[in-house]
Amino acid sequence: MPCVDAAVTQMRKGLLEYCVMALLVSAPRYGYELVNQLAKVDGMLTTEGTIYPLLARLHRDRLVATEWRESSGGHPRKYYRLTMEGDQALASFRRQWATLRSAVDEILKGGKP
Amino acid sequence: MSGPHATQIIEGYVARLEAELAGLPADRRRELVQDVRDHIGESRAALEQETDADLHNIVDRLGEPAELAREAREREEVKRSNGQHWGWIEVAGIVLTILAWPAGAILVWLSRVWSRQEKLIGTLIGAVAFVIGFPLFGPLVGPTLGRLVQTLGGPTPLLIPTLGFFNVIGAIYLAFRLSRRETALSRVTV
Repeated sequence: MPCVDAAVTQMRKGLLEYCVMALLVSAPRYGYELVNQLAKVDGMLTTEGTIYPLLARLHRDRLVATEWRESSGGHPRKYYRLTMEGDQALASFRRQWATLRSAVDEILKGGKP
Repeated sequence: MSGPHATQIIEGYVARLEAELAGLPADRRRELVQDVRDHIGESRAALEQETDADLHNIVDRLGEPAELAREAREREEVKRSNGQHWGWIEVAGIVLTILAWPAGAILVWLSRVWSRQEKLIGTLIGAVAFVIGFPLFGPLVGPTLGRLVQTLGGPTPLLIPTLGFFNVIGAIYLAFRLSRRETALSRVTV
């Protein structure tokens, strides 16, 4: 069912942005670390590389900021941290997501919306 | 210990990625390639004993270069269409299309907001007045000088208001297209 697949792909792509931002709430993280975190959740990240265009986009939109830090292995790592704007965007997403999720669940269950 | 064909596998992947990224701005290309190289470096450092199979797995998990490039282009386009608001270039372009056509036309073509077709129509209407006005008044002052002469109480050749009229039509057209664009955009971004 190519139509359903395309819709799910688009949905996942949109949601991935907020999942990445949510992972940055607790602490700044570097790209590879984010990929590993997302890989723990089945079905969230189908191709690991696509996270980098996403991070670049979040950075240009000033939702995340970057900072290079020296690692214990002696090479620099680019860390991403949530900005104030990113924090607000995530908070607004959390509210809308809660409403949307319960609405869709209701309808899929066949109950009254 | 590196896999026996480590350089070949990694550089081959990066080269294919770079080829797929052609068309994106150079700084975006550089950034993404660097991010991917760092990712490969981190993945390799996490291995205890590196084999060619490990390296193939690393680049396979990254995804097809074509898919990464598609993703990069999509994320780039979203950004660009969100940032497409009009500013002083567009306002000055419209005003100068009426007052000093060649300067107005240059600004209109410098703007990134109008499409090529709109620029062509908008400036060609003004060009009609310019071409007719040129032999009479010289390149820069065509219709403007005519109006000035009128204000000062000088002779008013019938031709002069007509020339200015063409420029005003061109400016109205450009402003109209711009306002249409704004409404369409605000609908998309809200």
